[in-house]
Amino acid sequence: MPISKSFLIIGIFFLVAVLLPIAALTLGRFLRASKPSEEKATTYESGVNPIGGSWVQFHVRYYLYALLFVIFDVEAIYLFPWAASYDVLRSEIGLGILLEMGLFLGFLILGLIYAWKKKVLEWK
Amino acid sequence: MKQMAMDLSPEWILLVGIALILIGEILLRENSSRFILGLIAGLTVTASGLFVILQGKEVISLFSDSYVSDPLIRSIKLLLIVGTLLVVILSFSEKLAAKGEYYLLLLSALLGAMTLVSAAELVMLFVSLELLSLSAYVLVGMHQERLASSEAAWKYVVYGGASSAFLLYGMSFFYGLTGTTSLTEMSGNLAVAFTNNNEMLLYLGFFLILVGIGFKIAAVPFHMWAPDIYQGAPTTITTFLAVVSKIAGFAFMLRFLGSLFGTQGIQSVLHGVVIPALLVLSILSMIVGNVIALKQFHLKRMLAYSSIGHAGYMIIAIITILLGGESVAYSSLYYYFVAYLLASTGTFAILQVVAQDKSPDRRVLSGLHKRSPLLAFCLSVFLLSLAGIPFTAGFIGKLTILVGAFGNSLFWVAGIMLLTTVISYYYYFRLIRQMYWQEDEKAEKERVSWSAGFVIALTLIGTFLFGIMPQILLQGIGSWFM
Repeated sequence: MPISKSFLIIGIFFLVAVLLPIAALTLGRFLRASKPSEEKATTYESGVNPIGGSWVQFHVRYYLYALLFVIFDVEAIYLFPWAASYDVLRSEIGLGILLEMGLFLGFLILGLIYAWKKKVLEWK
Repeated sequence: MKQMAMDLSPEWILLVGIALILIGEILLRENSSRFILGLIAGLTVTASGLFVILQGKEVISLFSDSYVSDPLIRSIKLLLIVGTLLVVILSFSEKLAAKGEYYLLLLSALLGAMTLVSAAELVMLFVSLELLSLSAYVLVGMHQERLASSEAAWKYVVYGGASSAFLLYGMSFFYGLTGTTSLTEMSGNLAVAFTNNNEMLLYLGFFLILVGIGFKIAAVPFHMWAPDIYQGAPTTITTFLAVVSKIAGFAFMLRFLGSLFGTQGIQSVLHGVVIPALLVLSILSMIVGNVIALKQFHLKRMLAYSSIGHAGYMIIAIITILLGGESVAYSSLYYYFVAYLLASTGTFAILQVVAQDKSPDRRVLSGLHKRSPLLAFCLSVFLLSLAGIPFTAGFIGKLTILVGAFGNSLFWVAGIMLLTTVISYYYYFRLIRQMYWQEDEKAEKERVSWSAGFVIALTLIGTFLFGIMPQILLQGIGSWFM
């Protein structure tokens, strides 16, 4: 397919994507009945009565935990394909790939110890 | 395996240094001195530099051509290493360096810069660039108690993130056009893509990447971040950004444009799009940088704008290289790097001494020649070198770039370069006048720490040496990679 034609299709999709919500919202505005009440204006919280405002400040510690979590998550994602194809890789490249993963894990463990030392893991 | 370990030795050493500093930071008590970590950082950087020199004229290509190292690349690596080493030495008298993370991030930024210079593959380029940038973001915000520093870090993250997105998007176009991420294969496939009527996509990709590169080297119109961040960052980190990060950015630009649109590339794209775009960047940078610097009273902001102007001059050298592809053009760019590195590092070192913890505006220089005549003299030399006055390294750098521009009949650009250089004299000389002809009631002498003194002395000698005997460096570069 020539490039201009494929972009034409993307353009049509884009237009539809923009127009559809606009059409739905405007049509809905004309079709629905409007009877606002205080009950309806409250925030929906799974059927429970809402408590307090929705602009709660998260403690910065959550982010530190999130960071640590992401690091080890990525580590797991990296480890899995490595372990799955270890036999193939070892026969081609040699034991170097074991060392490489050891290096990677070593740095992550150092990082964890560092975070521990800096009292990231303590919740005060 | 063994061969690979040897070929990558400069990078391995940095990695080991990073690990050592991390272990040191874990072992050291909270309030004990971090001097030892700084020492490790300095030694690591030196060792890495020695191994770069040891590799000599070898041409190394690893990981199916995604990592390349030849004498030309090694010469830039040496510059990065020397720049970082000077920053590490300067850091010994910086209060911030009481944190071990400071040195760690400095080394990882250098590691990123070095792999960036060596990378010959888009993914590798991007990962190295991010390693450099991410470390720099944190370093800029190291002064946690200072609002300006946090603000600068925040701005840097936002601008940097946006520019990375542009860069990545542009790279995706090149990948889509050629089906490969390796730069050497790409330059061959690009001609095919070009003849298949896909030139608009090629231009789009090129301009998106130019945005990313323009941000890294702080060229107008992508310069808006530079003054704020230079001002907010700790002085040592400002030096790092202005010298190491900028040179790495230029090396990236040279690598990317040189391998895709160099002498073997598509000539109509080179002359029709790449060169004009670079000319616009260069001319705008020279004019905007130097003119706005006239109005700046904060010294770091002024130097930021002056470094934007210098980026404009360096782009001219890049254009000459792309047009001619000769090693003469390369050595002129290299000479300019050296001159810029020496003069900028020296200037920032003196700023660190003079301003201490205060935010340096022009008045801190008043009457400096009475208080510390030696410092005033050194700063004058550095400023003259930045301005490009004879007998300093900056003059030879500017001269060789001008000669290159005339050689390729870029008369307009050469004219603008001369004109903006004259404009820049005004603000450089204004500082010198401030030091020698303005009095100040403040009587106490500046205390020069040994580390700052060492850096100032080294850069002063370098500036004079390469200004008076340019053939040393020119021949040195020539014999190295020819």
